[in-house]
Amino acid sequence: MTLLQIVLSVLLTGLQLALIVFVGPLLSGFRRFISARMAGVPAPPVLRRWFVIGRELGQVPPVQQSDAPPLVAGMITGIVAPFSLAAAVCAALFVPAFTQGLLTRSWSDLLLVGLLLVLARFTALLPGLAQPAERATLAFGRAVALALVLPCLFLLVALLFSAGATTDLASVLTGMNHENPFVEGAPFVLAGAAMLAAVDPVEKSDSEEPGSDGALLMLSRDIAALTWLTLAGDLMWPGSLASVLDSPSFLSGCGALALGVLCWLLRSFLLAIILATGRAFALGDLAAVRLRAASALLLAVLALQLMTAARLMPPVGVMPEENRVSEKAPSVHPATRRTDIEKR
Amino acid sequence: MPVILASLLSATAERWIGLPPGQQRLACQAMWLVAALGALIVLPWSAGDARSVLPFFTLDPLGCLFLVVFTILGCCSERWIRPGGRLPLACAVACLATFANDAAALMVTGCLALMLALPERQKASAGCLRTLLFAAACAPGVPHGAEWIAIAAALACAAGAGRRQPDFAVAPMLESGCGLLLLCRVLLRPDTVITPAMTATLIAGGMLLAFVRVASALTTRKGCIANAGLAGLPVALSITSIGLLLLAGASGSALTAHAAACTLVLGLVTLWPVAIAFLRTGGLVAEGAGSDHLGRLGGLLLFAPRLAGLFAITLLILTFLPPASGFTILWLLVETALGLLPDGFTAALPSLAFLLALGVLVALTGLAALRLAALLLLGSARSPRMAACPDAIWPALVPVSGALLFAVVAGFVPGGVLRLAEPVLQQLTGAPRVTVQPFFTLVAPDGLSSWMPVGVTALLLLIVLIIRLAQQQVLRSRTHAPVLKREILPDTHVGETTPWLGGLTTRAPWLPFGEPLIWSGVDMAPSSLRSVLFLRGRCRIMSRFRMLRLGARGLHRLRQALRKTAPFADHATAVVLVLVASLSALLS
Repeated sequence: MTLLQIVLSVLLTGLQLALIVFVGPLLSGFRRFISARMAGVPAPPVLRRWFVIGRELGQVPPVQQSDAPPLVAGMITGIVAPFSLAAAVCAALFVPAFTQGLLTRSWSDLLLVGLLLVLARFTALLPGLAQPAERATLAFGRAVALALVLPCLFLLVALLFSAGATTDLASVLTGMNHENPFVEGAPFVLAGAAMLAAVDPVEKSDSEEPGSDGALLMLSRDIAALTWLTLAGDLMWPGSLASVLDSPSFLSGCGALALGVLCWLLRSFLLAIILATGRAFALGDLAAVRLRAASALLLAVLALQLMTAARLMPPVGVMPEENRVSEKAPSVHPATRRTDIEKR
Repeated sequence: MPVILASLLSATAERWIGLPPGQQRLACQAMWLVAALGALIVLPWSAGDARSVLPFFTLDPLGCLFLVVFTILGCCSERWIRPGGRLPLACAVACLATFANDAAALMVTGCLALMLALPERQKASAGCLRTLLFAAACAPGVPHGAEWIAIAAALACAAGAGRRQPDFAVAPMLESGCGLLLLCRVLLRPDTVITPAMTATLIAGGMLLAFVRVASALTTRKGCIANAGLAGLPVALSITSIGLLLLAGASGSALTAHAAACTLVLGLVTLWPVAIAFLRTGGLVAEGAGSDHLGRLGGLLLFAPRLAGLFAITLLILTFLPPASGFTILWLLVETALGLLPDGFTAALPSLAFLLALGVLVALTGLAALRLAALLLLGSARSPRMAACPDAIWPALVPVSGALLFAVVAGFVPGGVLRLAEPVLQQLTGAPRVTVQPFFTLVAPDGLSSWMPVGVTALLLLIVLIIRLAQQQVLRSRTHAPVLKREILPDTHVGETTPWLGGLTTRAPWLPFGEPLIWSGVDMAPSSLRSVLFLRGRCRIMSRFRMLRLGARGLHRLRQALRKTAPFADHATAVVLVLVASLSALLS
């Protein structure tokens, strides 16, 4: 890796970090807007989330003006909020959003990313769990909703491994960069759809945590949701990732980067609209949680079935009567490739 | 030598040596920690010619590895308040059992360690059963008999219940360690023949045990059971990894077998000490709070910040979430299972079911950890005794901190630990070194996936630091006033009038006459899960089926019959003795 490539990687990582911090609350506000429109209630402005976070970021946490006993709730928010946001940002940096060749690409393991997002969500729920019974039960219910989707992540890891003989997200996405999403990439479209179930739905009542730590928690939740959407979009449409480092000239690199950012925004907002339209269905909370978990599991199993069925089919361009194995077979059949790696 | 010194210091009365009060405990704990470090360091040199320690006792790589676990157990079993006791002695005997190269020596030392750690009279039958199974597995018998009994003994030892007495809080890990040592010794004998049924039993038994443990942690009202449930997960995963190791060996995949062996080794060095520290901290919490009932605790973060901090850190590591060492074990297990993934959907179904079970286990573990945190650390005191919970002094936390530091440092250099434990890996896989692991990174059997704990942790901490600095900067620029340092306990005392609260009198954390706050109960987690997983009309629909009604009636009668036999529970030990004796006689 040359020095120029390292500098470019650092710049791309910084750009992705800045864009994620900027787009996360924006996308959350957009989802709230569309959800409210779908539910037929007055919609808040799209930029409201950003304004709330900006306003609360400069507010000192409120002092308890009563003789109530000292509670953990105020203290725990200050401890877990930066940790939760850091976990969400870490996960967001490991997922290639609009370009490949990030500085953190060697750490972009799907299991790591998924569990970092779970860590961010669970730690963000701790202030809720420190509240009295009603709010604590609500917070635990949200944890249960995420935990029910978690097992499907392990199936998606197996799917990724079946495709690329590794769980490294960046490597697999590079390998299936030019696949048709409706033919070879169909299992990954299903996998992306399964991953949408992990996105935290917007609350019916706009809960805003007061104080600077509350702003960090809101930002953490928005970035985690955007990362899940980015992950789903990557699996559904890996061709939208630009390879800036391989561009022949500076101008073409800039063009590829701009196109990659545009595609990322487009697919993220499209997926956000799809998620927000779920509010149009009149479902209770429990039914929605069950539906999310069941659909994620079914989609993941179906994706695995499609992947194994695709493996049994002959590669495109090979006639059925040709029984001999071509030279390119190891790169087409991941199982063979895996065996080769093991032999090596 | 450090083990002998530690045992002597532990068993000798303080007035005989003449050291200042407490110094002998510290010296003893330091000796145990030195022994753990020494055992890890001498691992690469333990594979040479047989080094005889005593007659029938020899230093070998696997024994050295288990010596690390038992010495840390010994360190954590030393009490600051009450010196001595039989658990440190049991740890010393277990350390001797790690050197046993003869079946009879292993039987004597292992059974002695288990008997020294026997639970109270009501549960002594379970302890006797474990001891007798241990002895039966060491005895010669019919072909495959010893292997099956060793598997049963390991599972029985790993299923030990949590102890309510603070002195014996870490005893379940000692029993589990003895069981796992026996299993490794029996399965690594040159004349042992591994059958597929044994492999399947190990994998399924380990996973089932993990599910039982985490389900008990999710539903129990007792703190000791919840703690033992979460601390038992590394044990269950170690048994599963032995099963995966045998499976990979049978399928001829050397790299995957190496990964499974790495899981076992890293689990013993990096996750078991955390589980031991977790149990020790839980014991200290129960002692300080004066109750073991989870519904009477709460708000530990306010009353005992040191204990709460250590408890939270160990809990976080045990939840398998990154970047802690629990995730390292989970990642290795997943990579091992993926390495054994065959082609074709039908053929891959067992592997996929295993991965799905791992996912469910991680999800349930996360929920159990959240529940424990909500009931113990968060909220406020649910009883007046809890509000008077004292914090532990630093010398009392030395063993816990030492074990935790050891595990965390070893978890940051997994490649280095595996290089040190290379003889153990060779002993387990039966093959020479395949690839050299980098010092800070773990590489999966596929050769492409990798996991670097120290890098991700450093990145996470760097981001936390940046966020905290940026937050302080924003607060300073907006308010134009210095931001006061947040204090865990504000400097207000009970009954004191403080000007910043409007002249109001602060009250005690537990309000005897004020308006009570209703906190979530111990049934929050099971009721939330039940409401999501089960349909509401289930009981009405199912009551229509006659068979189910009959089944419910039968269960009711069974419970009544069991209640009637409760007075005979004291004789359960004798029943177990007779049963195991007859079983051993049948097998031999």
